[in-house]
Amino acid sequence: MKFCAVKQYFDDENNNNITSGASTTMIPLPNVESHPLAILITYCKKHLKIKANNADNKKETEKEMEQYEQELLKKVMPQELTELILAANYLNFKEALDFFCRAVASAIQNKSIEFVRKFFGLESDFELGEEEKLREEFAWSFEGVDED
Amino acid sequence: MSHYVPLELINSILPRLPVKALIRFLCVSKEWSALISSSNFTKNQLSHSIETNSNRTLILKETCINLPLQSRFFSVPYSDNDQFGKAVQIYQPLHNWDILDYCHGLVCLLFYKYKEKEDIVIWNPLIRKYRKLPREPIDEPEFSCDSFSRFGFGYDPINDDYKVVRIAEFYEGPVLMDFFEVKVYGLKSQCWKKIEKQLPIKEIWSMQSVSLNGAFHWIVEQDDRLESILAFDLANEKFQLFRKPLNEGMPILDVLGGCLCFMGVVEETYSDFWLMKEYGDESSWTRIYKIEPGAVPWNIDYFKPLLFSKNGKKVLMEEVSLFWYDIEKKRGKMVKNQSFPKRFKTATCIGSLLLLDGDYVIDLKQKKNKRKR
Repeated sequence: MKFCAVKQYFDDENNNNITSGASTTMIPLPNVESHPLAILITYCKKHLKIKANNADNKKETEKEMEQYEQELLKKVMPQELTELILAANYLNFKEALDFFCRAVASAIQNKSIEFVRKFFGLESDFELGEEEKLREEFAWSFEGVDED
Repeated sequence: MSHYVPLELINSILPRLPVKALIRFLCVSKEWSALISSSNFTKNQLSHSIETNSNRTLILKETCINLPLQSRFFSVPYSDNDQFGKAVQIYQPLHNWDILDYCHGLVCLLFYKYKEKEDIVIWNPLIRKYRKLPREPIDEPEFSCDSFSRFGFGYDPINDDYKVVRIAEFYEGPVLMDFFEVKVYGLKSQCWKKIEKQLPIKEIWSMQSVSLNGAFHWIVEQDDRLESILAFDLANEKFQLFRKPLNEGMPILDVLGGCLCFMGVVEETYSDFWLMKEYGDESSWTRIYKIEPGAVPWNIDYFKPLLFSKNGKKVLMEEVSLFWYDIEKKRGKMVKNQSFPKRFKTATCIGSLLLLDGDYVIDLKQKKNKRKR
């Protein structure tokens, strides 16, 4: 069970001695929206399928996962990545969290400060002159940055 | 629409970034600035760099015999699949330094001439910061004599500190005295400390030490004329002696693939490479290869081994330039890269934020331009 938060729910249910006779159970996930959840479910199913297909060959699993991840990234908008990270974190889905963190790092690594602030919904909270000082000190790190 | 991402998740994203981006993102917000410059983050990021072998860079120091004051430094990105990028000139803290040793993205530079005071600098070239060590006098004995110093730079994992060692030997005329002065500088404490213990040896042969597993190593000669390997542990400040794996050839030490590497070199004849597979276990000395005539189209001499290729079948080595030695095929092939200087020495770096609180390496050209404005 990859969604550890969901697993936790089932474990809690069993501990309370509620017989889960019904085949469908509604699990409340108030912090996850349906779109990212759908992507995570697909990711999870794909991951398990690839793992099963390549039971003994770890390298093949990694290779196939990488290919799938590249394809997935083409379909996901960069702005959706933060949603996916939050969802994967809430669900305690380690592999997906790791993947989406890597994807975000890749997406922002050559971007400007302004882009990053917009991406994470942040604002500059520096005192007057503080930011200018930092920018001057580390001017070299701004060279070759992607245009917004 | 962006969602607020809590700092703990930001902390899972940031260590994966190249250090140039991390430096730039110090300007995003106060919170990011505090996070990135924290010592915990530095540790995290370094672990991640080491694990994923990311931000790998070679630092090349041009060796111009004719114009030593104009030796330039270059950085060359080195990818996961053993490909070299373009060499780009970088700014170094002052000129005419030699590379002493390197570790975790730090390069230790030394300027030393016999009978003159030395200058030592620890430098993080990827974030352009450095720290110059304070000059430390040699506590000369009462009678007049000359001294000669040897140096080493390495990491002490027990104290999580980076250290420089200086061993001074003394001469009365041509006669070597039977005592040494050992001092160690710690990057954390930023000061020198004298080691009171005496070395259990007669003479040191290595020009500089080799650092591994929190210890410095030298080829030494003991009283009974036996040549061995001396190890000095930085944490518990103890000396230990190891047997060499062979007695033929000029003995030289290095580090390769995280193991102590011993080379027996006979000029124009062979260069024999052994690794101590289990540190401290003399029985684990294993020959990994021997370069013999025909394997390389140039004179066989001491070639410094730098690193293994990703599949472990080749070794990147330093001659006047760089070459790959294929262990199975027993063939050496020069690395052809037009952007490399003709002759150089190499240090290997990974991305780290160590010395973020150090001094800036000022680009002399930029400084001149500023003054003009």
